[in-house]
Amino acid sequence: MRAVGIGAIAVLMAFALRSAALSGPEQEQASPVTASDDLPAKVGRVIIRRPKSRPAITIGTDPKTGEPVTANCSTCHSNRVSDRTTNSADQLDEFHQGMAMAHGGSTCVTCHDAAADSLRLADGRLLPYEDSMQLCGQCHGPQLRDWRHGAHGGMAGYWDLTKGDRIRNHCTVCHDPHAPAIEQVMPAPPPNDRFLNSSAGNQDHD
Amino acid sequence: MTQTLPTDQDPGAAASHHHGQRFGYGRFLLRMMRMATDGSPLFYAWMIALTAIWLVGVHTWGLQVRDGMAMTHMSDHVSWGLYIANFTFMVGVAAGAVMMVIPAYLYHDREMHDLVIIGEIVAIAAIFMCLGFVTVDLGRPDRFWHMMPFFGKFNWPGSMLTWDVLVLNGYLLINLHVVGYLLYKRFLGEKPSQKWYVPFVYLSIIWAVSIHTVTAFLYCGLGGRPFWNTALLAPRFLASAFVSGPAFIIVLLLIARRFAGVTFGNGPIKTLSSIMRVTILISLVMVASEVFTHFYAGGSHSASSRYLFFGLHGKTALVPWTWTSIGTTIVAAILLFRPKVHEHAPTLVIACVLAFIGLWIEKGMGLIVPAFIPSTLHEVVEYVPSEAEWRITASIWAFGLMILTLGLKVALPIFSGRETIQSR
Amino acid sequence: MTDQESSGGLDRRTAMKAAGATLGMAAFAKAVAPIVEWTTTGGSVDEFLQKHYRELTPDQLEVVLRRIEAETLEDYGAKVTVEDVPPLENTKFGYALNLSVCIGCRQCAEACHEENNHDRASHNSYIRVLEMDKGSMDMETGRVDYDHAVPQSDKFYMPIQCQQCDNAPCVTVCPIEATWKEPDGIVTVDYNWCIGCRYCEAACPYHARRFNWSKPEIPAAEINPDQSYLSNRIRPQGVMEKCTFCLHRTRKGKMPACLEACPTGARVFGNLLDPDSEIRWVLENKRVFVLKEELGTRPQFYYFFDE
Repeated sequence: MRAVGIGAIAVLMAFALRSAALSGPEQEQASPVTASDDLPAKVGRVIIRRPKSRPAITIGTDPKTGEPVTANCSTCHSNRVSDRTTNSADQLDEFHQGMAMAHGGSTCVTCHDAAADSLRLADGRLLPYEDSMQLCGQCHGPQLRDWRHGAHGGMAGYWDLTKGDRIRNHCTVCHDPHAPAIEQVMPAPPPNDRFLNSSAGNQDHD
Repeated sequence: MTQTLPTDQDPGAAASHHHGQRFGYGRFLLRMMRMATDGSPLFYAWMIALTAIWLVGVHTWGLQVRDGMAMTHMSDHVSWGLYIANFTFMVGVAAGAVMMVIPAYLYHDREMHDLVIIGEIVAIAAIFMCLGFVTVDLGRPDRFWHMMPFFGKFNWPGSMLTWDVLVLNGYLLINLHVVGYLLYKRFLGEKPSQKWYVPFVYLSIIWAVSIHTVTAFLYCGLGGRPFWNTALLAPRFLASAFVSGPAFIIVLLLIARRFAGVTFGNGPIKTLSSIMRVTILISLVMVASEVFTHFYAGGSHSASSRYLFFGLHGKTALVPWTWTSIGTTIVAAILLFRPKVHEHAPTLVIACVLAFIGLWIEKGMGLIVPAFIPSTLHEVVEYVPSEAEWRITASIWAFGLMILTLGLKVALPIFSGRETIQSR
Repeated sequence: MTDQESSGGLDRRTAMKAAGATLGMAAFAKAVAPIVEWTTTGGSVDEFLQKHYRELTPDQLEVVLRRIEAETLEDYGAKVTVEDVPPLENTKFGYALNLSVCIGCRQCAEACHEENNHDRASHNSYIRVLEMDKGSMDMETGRVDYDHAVPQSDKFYMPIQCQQCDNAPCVTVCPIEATWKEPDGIVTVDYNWCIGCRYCEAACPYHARRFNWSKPEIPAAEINPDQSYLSNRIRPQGVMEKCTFCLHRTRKGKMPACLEACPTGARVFGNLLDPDSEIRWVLENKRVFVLKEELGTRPQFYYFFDE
């Protein structure tokens, strides 16, 4: 069962990873229990599956090894100034091609400071990628509040932190930052109860 | 079955000495068993046929116990079916027999008094059938002892099912006692002692009402099943019981008169058909009242009624049943209007058979099954009994008829004075 | 028979009765053969005589648990551990489900299916997910057998499982106390005590109870070996079963399997008695509702919407 559960999470993670240009592999980091760490008995940690600190973009393939060659944002953007109005990959001549962008009216620079290899808050302050939840929370305050109270986002492990750790999803585990709406999936198979969907008596399901 | 009778201690039993020797209750029971196994070729053929049907059902039930109730067509959506439908109906027949007891003992109707034993035997057979239907409905009949007070864990008074266990077995014991005692005394040629049966007869009247009330409470106490959750259910049960019980007994009496040489005046038939005339109308009025409430108000609580009468989401398995029931019951009610219907045996028999069939559907399939359709999550999963269910049901009917036949075989000669201690 | 018959007639009659009785007995033996066979294979004498769970001493319970493990090995070829996991102190479990984020993917139902060792053929699960029309809370608009990509834009999804009612009709109606409410709020079934009358199934307003119409079939490799007496051990044929909030997990502090499987985080589980718990925060800060509140069952399973 866990395989299926994790499989489902993996499907959703794939959404987040789809635009390879900006997302890197997830990494797990421990963070202290915030809401209730004053309670002495709680020994378990809440582990949040945060994004990697800094993404990279694929700029080509190594002709010898066939491995992708990646570059940091600043490699290009230290001298190529980002266009403040760009809000879709279609408007670009090169790089970031094919990236879906469906996130309200946001443009690239709403969240990114490419020259600094960093995220950027609305007030211009830079923000490391692993703290991106704070960036999301600028607009999605209710979701951030609910997440903080365990009422948004998937989790696994222990409800009782005195007995063990809890693993929590980060925004980007489920939501592609560039197109955050949850995509359609095929559900697990429906129940196959006795006579569900048969006209009675005509069929014996046993 | 008869070992359960505590009547060995009856003072009458100890007091009876004939031909210089004591003829105790145990010997009387042996004598009855001998009477019950002697008869004409027709009797043997009838009993062998019933035994065969019974054994086929016992075998099928054995398979059901071994391989699981997947042999039935019940499901997690319709979790009670033909068995509980028949159980409910037979509780009514058992209770309906009290319609002979009341005139016989409360109103001292002499003619009825001479026949009341028939009603009591019908009640006994019906209760045995009820117990049979409940037993075959259990997933784990091997654990029956969990239900026994003191041995198991008896969730009384919380569970209405424990009440039902008590009242049904109590009613059985009361009737076995009254029938056994009166037959014994009649057999000995002695006058029955009032204190040894009159209190039990009165108790049986109250008890008859209680068995059907409790059985109705079993269903109407469930808030999650709007089709059952109506205060009218218990009165409706009683009204229909007082149709189906007398209907069965009238036909039985006419058969006994025609084929078994039992002689009696028309009084009892008149009384019973008069009762039916009224109760069948009350029963129909109550059904109409339910139907009005459901359909006029509408809403999700009427979904079961919509399914029952017209079908729901294209599923209509019960629709022919329910209209048959309504049709036969109305025709029976009209036939019973015929003046002096008690003197017109064919009309009366047709009316009784129609009423019996009509109420068997209404109280059985028409009452139990639609409460589950749609399910509590409003899924429409239909139910039509499987072949195994029909076989087991037929087997319990055969078993009931066996008890009835044997009971009457013993009781009628004794009660009519043809078989006494003298006639050995 | 009225008076003395000739002795020849009586003898013949007696002989015929004896023959009839012999034939009858033979037919009867044949008829009950399946039951006789079942008593030798279906269950042990120890199981037949076993007392109610709550009346077993710790030693007796230990014997029962080891017996069930041995039976599972024999019947299913799987080595499993059957534990008795007692309720936690100062704990009352509550569950909340966010209907705004549930996408109807049935991962919870699937996780339940596997965690709780359900029969494979019926694809049983304690969770049914209703696909409902937006704009209505009438379950009559719902379907459980949808088989298309989810979520559909005109639908919302409502998973339904045991509501662990404080005033549980199933507990009230059980004639033999085979089902009861534990101190931590979980309604459990003693599968070795239930007689399978299905009165609880008729009484439950939430379709939360399931009957074992036949012996559950699961390949040995798929059996979850971490089992407990009151929850996910493989149920015998002919008894009732139901969701236990995965008490073999939750009483050890873990999340229920359905919650871990939920890809959208629609599920919130926790201790209602802990004022700092997530479930308490939801109850106090979201507008929650319970199913069929008018029935007075007092569910401990809550639903809420974000918007």
